[in-house]
Amino acid sequence: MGDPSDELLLSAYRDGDASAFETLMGRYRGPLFNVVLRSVRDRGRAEEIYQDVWMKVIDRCDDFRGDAKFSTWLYTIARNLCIDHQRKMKFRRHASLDQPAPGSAQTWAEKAPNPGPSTEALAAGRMMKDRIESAVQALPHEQREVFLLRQLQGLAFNEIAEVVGIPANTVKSRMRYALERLQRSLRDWEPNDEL
Amino acid sequence: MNCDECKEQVFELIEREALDPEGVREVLARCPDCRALFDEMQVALRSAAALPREEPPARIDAAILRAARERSTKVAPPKRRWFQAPQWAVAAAALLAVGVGVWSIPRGEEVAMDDAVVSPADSASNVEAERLADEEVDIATMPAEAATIERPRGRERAQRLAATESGPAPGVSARPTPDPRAKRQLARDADPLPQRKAAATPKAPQAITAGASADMAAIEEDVSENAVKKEQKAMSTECKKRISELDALIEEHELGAAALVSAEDALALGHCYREAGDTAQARSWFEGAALDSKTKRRALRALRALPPN
Repeated sequence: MGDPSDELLLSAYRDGDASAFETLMGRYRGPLFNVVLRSVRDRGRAEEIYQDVWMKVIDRCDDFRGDAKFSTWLYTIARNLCIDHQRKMKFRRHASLDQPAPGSAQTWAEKAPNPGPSTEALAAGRMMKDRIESAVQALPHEQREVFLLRQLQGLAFNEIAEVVGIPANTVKSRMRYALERLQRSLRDWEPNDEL
Repeated sequence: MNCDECKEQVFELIEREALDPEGVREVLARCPDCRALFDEMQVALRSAAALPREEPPARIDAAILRAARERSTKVAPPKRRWFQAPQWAVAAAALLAVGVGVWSIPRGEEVAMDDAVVSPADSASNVEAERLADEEVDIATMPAEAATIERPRGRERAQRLAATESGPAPGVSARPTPDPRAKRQLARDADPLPQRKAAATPKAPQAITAGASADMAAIEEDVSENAVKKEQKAMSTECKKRISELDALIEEHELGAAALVSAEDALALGHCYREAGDTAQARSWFEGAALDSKTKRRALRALRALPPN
């Protein structure tokens, strides 16, 4: 007997089994939080959205249709909340991190200083992670969301297509462009630059 | 496949979704540029896998789980009550009841043999089973009205039996007490003269379980024309004396009086009521006497000899 599917767990929760929800949440909490965090780039906002996503799952679990995968449903909720957040940010005239900063060809994300190691004792692996983090942050939004869903949650291309609402081939193209961009960012970087 | 087509499918090859994986591999084997792109793509993917992961705050997880539990508490079905047993259990219980009923119908010498070998510890349950079987037979021959009234009496009696068995006073033989409740409705319907209540037949002590005051009131009110007529029947001196003693006992101990009546006295009172024509009271006293091993056989015989209610 394998582990129960996400859909089975949600059904059990709908019937009043709180432990089923706990199991379900255990499967997704980490990847979901990281996807949201890297989408909104603000830890405080990410925490709010992360909580809102789960609250919506709780409130709307009766509306979940069995013909869709739970993961697709979950990330569709998360994406919609992230989009709502971004709209609010635009309304408040916050500069988008994806847009070039005024008077510069670089985006805010690209200009943002890397947290970087404070001492030489930090390993190169740590610096590499920071660099990857920055490179991912610098990805255009549509590439980044595809990349994050693929890399952090491991969703299939057709699932990502369903979440984002685009054809699966477009998902693949975006993923390829995201990887090419990342590869360029990492190729230009040398560990000694940071030390 | 040319280099452009290969570059288009390099990523798909890594993701194992290439349309023509063999074609891509052929190009990668002969084209250094395509090979370099493939290697860089793999490095990028491996790097992406090293993307730092952050944990959501525990307090938020706790709040979410709390909300989830609250919701599940609201939607969870109420705990099954005893009377909401699953259908299979109800069916099994019904089959068992029918089986016990059929098995326990007295059949001449079979009953006598059972009486001879039964242990005192088993006596209560056996007697009750036999009595219930008797009651089933009686009900079958009763008029519909009487049967509908008598049915709950059996259950009440069984409950009292259980209560009596669970906690009799030391040295006092526990037994069910006669219950006039079965006739209560008949009495209310049939008795247009409340003043007759004062001249009612002395009743046996009532249920010694819960509802003492209510039962006492019921005893006082439990009068019917039949009861009055039965009282007027001839009664031996001994019976009159026994019933007077019982009255005194009831007056002194109220509902606890039943527990103070010995099995022999209960049997004798049953005979007195049978002579007076009060079959229900007689049956109740006989049933009480049947719970004692010393009087069981005689009480059962008397019960079988009783006419249907």
